[in-house]
Amino acid sequence: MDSGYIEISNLQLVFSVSLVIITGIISSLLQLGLVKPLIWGTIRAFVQLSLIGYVLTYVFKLNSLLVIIPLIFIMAWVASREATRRISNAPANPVPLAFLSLTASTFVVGLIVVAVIISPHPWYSARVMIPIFGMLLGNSMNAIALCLDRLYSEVQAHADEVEQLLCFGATPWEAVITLVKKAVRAGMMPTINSLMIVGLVSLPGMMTGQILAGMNPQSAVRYQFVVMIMMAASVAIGCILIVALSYKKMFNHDLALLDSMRKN
Amino acid sequence: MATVLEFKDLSRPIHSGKLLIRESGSINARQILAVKGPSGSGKSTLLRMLARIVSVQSGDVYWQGRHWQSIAPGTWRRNIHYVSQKPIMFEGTGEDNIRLPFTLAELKENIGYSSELCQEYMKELELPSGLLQQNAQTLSGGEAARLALIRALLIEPKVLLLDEPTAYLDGSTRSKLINLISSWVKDKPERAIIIVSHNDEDLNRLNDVFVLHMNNIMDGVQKNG
Repeated sequence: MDSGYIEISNLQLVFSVSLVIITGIISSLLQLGLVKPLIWGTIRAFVQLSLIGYVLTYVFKLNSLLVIIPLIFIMAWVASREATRRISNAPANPVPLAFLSLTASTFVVGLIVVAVIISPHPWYSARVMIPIFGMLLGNSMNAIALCLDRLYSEVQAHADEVEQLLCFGATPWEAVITLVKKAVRAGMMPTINSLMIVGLVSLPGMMTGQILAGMNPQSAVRYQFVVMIMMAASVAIGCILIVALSYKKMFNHDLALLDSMRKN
Repeated sequence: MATVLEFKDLSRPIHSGKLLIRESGSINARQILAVKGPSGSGKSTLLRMLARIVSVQSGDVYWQGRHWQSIAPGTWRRNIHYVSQKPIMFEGTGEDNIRLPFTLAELKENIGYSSELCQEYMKELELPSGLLQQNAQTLSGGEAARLALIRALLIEPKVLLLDEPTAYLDGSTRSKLINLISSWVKDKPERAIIIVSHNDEDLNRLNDVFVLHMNNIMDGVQKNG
């Protein structure tokens, strides 16, 4: 028991659904209107996780870069769409820029972590690469979404100041740099905060998973530390890239602020 | 007299496309052009188009004979400089605000900050020098408006585009400001001013004023500002 993990049987899996029933009853009693989305969410989670379970089994077995790299690109594309889905005030389609920022930041950091720090055999081991890149993408996705949303809303809220700086002869970058800094801070803050409280409030998901899978907590801590540092690095790179790629889209060909960036 | 600024068929839709403004005009060295017209006729928009801070539908502008597209937007905006009706003050003290433009590459390369000139302008506009140490967000509308004008003058524009510069001022400071811009425009040969003002008293105090009437009216629609 100490070195192995405890397998969840089909019966136990079915029993776990009873927890959904509790949530459903609460939603129904309080008329929250969440029963349908809850059922749909549960079905989706089960199907998606089952599918990814099969896909990962297959990919781990193949263990080929020709499969791993395209899979990571697909994950990055889905993450890019998700990151930009709720951004309603974007002056141009933000998906391609989010994709570029996400892939660049996750590849730079992910490859260092996989090939240099963890260095499995072979170095591109799917069992290591896919979860590491997945975690990086998930975190950077949220950070980029926050960062981009903040950038656009800050510029809209301070359009007069941006315009005033342009009148002084500022370049678009000079005109928005203060707001860019605020946006990057907003994107990075959750990651920095999680560095502060990790281990004090909760155990991170990956570390919990490793401990449940039988790993010595001290070894799990080492992994978790590497993971958190790499997340902070990829979030920082991702946020800087997304603002560097996006800020010009708020200006027209004559380097004036677009009408759509002015609320009034 | 040499033409400093000339604009031909400068047009842009306003009021969500319900009205298209189209204007032509020119201004000579050391002259002042007063833009008049009913509220909502696009006077501010005309100044903003000339400053290249909003896009235009069509039209051309020439500064000292050079087409505007042949000049970098930053250089253009510093020289053909728009001062908005609402004074924009940034975080920091009055002095931080005055010095802010000089932190930009466009000004670093071209002109330096002159504290003597700043003090001179402040004296003329009756602003106490202690104001420079004050938090800019706590300045009154009139103080901010005068400080914004001084900031504009210090970056040495060639053409000043003034949008209701006396809107926040009372009688005495109003005439001081009019006197200042009146002497500023005469001071160097390449200077000119285009001014939007509802106050005929202000305009009457200025010499060499030419008037451009904007009579764009939207049929049956009440317009604002």
